[in-house]
Amino acid sequence: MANVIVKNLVKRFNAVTAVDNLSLEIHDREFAVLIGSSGCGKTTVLRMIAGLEPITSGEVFIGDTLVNDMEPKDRDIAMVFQNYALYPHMNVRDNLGFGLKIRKFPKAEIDARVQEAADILGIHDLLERKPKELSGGQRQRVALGRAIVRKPKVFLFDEPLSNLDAKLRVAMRAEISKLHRRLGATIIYVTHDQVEAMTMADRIFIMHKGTLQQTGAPMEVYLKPANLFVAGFIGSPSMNFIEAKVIREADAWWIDAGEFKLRAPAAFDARLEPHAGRTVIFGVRPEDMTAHDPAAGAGGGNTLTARADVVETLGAEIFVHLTCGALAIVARMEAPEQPLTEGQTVDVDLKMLKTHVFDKETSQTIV
Amino acid sequence: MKSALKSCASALLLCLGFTAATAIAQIDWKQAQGTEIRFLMNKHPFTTFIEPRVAQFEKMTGIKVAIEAFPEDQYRNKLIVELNAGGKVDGYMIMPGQDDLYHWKAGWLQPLDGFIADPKLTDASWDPKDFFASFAKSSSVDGKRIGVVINAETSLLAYRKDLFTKFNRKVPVTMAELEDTAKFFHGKEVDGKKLVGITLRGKGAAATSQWVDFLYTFGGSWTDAKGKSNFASPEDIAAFKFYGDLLRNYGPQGGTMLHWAESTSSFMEGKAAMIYDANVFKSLYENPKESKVAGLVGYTVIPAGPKGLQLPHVSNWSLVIAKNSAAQRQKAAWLFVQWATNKENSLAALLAGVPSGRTSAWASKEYKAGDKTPDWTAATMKSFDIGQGQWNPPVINVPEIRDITGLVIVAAIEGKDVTEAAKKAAELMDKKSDM
Amino acid sequence: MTTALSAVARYVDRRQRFFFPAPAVAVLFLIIVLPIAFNLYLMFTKWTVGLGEPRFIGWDNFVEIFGDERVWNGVKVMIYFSGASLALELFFGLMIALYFNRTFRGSEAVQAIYIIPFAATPVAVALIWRIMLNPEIGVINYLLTSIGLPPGLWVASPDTVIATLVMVDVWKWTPMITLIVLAGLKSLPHDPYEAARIDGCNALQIFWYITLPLIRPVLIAALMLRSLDNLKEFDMIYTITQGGPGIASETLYLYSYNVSFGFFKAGYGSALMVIVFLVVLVFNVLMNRLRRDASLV
Repeated sequence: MANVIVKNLVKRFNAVTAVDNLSLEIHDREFAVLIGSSGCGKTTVLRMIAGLEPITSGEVFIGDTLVNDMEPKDRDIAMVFQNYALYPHMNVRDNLGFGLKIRKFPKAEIDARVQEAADILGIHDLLERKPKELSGGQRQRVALGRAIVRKPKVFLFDEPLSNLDAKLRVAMRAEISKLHRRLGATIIYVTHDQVEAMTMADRIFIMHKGTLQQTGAPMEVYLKPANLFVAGFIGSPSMNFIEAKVIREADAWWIDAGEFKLRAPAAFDARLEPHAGRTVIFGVRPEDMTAHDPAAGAGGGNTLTARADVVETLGAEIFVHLTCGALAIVARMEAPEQPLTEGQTVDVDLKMLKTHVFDKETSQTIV
Repeated sequence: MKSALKSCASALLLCLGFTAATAIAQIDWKQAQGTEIRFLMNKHPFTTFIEPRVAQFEKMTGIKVAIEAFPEDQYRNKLIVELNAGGKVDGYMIMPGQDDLYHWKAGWLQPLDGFIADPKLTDASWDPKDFFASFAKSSSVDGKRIGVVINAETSLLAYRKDLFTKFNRKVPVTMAELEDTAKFFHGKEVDGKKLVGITLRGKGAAATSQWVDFLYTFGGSWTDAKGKSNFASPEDIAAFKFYGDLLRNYGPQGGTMLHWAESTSSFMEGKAAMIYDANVFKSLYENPKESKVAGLVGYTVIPAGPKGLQLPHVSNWSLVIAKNSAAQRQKAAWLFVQWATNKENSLAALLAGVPSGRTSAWASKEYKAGDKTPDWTAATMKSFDIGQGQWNPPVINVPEIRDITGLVIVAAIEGKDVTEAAKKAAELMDKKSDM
Repeated sequence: MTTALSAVARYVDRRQRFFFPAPAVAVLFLIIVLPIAFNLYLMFTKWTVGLGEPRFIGWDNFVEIFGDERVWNGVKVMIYFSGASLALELFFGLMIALYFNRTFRGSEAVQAIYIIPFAATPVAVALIWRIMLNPEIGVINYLLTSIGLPPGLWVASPDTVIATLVMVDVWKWTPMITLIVLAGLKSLPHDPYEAARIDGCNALQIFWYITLPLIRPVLIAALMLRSLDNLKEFDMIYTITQGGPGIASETLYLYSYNVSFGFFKAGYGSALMVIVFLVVLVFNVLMNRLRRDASLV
């Protein structure tokens, strides 16, 4: 097993810069997820690590070896593709064993490893079938198996679950996580699905427009987004962003959005002070809002009044689409006993300690 | 000189005879007035020659003649189809040396002897004796006259007079001399070009047309007295061998693919000292636009074989009358054939470049006055005299047997075992021949 | 009168499905069914076109075929010619398609020039080759000797005639195979190639283990298409050699043509044609089976 280091990596397609001076380090045995919206360059990075895409400039190391000029086959990696990329003319057994056969492994060894992979993935019954006789989920298992049998230094996953239906995706997620633990392998996993990232990753690498935005454990990037992009990208539904002014009033810092005013907790004071009087972006996650607790009384400075436009009921939870003047806010709360009716005016409390404030010019996090 | 005198004299006599005959008897040319007849013709130079003159005949006889002419391949197919279907055909053209048995057995040919013998139908001036004997014979089947020659051909040995003079060689008169001469010239460099001794057709079935002259001259024959293939006889084998050896040893490369077009162009390029092929190719050799040897070519008849035989073949197109046609139309058709082949038209045709089958035409002073190659004329007339009319195997399925013959010729040219090939071909010929 | 007409109209109306296709069916019957039926009848007869009526002789024609040396020669020539030309056309067609299956400067122009032989009229092309191959006056020997090489006899020697015809056939028809294979290559999935690169294949192994198996159904389809013409190759051989020298390049098809249209032996010729048809049929049934196996991917 091995770590992967990318230094100052650049990829240009003619005039377009797909990857812009990217550096990252993935530790040995780490499950690293590269995430970003489509076109952010995450797949290109993965393909450069694999050797399928020439590098414009920069360096890629796999386990201390500079691999820039190595053929994919010499990098000791395995890759699972979005479209499975199975060999359509070979049955499952041959698909699994192909990489070993090409590398001149003895027949017995190949059989043993194919057997082992089939055990792990539960695809024993499929070994004699051709890919086109398999379902999508089965194909993805075979693609996984093909990577497993190789026992490579690094596994590369390129959005492997995006062609599966939602239910299968959940199951495969768990399975891949289990695999990672079992194999103790270094995995670089590219996806645009934050749920996959959050559930599987040891560390998440968030990319935007060819650059790395933030690196960290899932909860870290969730709780402490480095900037506006990360804050908006991680979390579902997305964080609400509201343009507001930082003002000082009654010995406290306030976030003044015009339609409402919220008192910042004392913990924010030091950070907010330099921005006094400036316009900032105030951010609050839908899940950090609750229905107003009448027992707490008014005057907490954390309550806003809005009209419920749309109420989406998910069972235990509801999404409420609120309008407050010209502002649209989404709240995610426990379903109240008295169902909300659309058009009703509601009071909503914010967990002010969990809110964020971002610099409007630099997009960087203030609090 | 002597022979020229003789020809002059005979021409004079003939002319006298002609005028005398016209004076004596004139048949009634109007006897079939109002009849309409239809002739199928090959688009042959003779057809081109006669078509504009037909109006004269129609005026003279009151017979309406419809001539339909097609290019040769198409003509042959159309003819067979029409005759087979019993279409309204009163007369047509065939090459008797190739087609007569087939047409005769199919029952398509009307014997002409009755018409010729009838003084009311045949004008004395038509003079059947004026035709070269070989053509009269070749236009007959089972002793019955079935056609009248309109185009007469034979094969000649053509040679480079300039080279023969330069190297002081005699024109070969025997087969042994022919081989010796070919050997002498083969490989000689003239004007930076390597000569071949002789060029001949070598392409299987196509070569049989000239090879047959060697067959007859070597004393061989297609069939024996019992009608069985004679290929395995010593004479036939000698002919195969001689022809094949000559072409292989002293001919151009790739002899087995030489058709007349390749062979003649080789000679016209000046690459061959001699060529044995159809006499009418004179017009190719002597055309300065196409030929580099125009004016340098001499002509002679086929050299004599080991037993002194000298038997070139003659071939001809003939006009025939369809057996299916009604009596009245046959009569009209005969009048047309008779008119088309009379002395006047024969001479005019010859002067227009269509070789006639009439002695009088060739001997006329009109022809001789314009003759630039008298040695060609002399050789041609000699060939017509001594020639054989049967130039194809005496069977109905001529193309198939020619093809079988061609296989032996090819084997001979390739230097394979000729005796073996000839024996095999003889068996095959006996098996496949339709008599 | 009107009632009679309308009765007819009604009658036709109710039976449209018979009346409307009738002209097409009649034409098809006349130009396809009838000739084939006639051919099947003729093969049991002896008939020289023009001489009498076809005479029924049962299986005699087939007995004759069995003992006819030229039939066996024809089969031999056909196997030699078709085997060599189809194999080479497939090989070069595939190789050149692989070469064209990428973009390079001027690739479109090169491809356009490359398909000219395929687009040209077969007989015209064959005539030109015939002249070029002439050992005495042909340009090929002229070129060979002018650069100091010995001249060849080409189609004038029984030893080289088939090889030469194969060369012309390959020259003419490889572009067709290339076009078909190229279309197949362009439609191949992209992913398995990358998977194979990662799995450890070099370029040659990718070709052998991935491209070749994936393109196999297309190759077989191209082979079938080409073999339909090739096994009955006529224009080119007939124009250049007429089966010569002797019968050294006379395929079974050429022989059956000669028998039918050169010798006018319609009965025997029909029987030979049926044999040719069977050979083509059997070959294509085999190929089709291969193709079905291959397309099960």
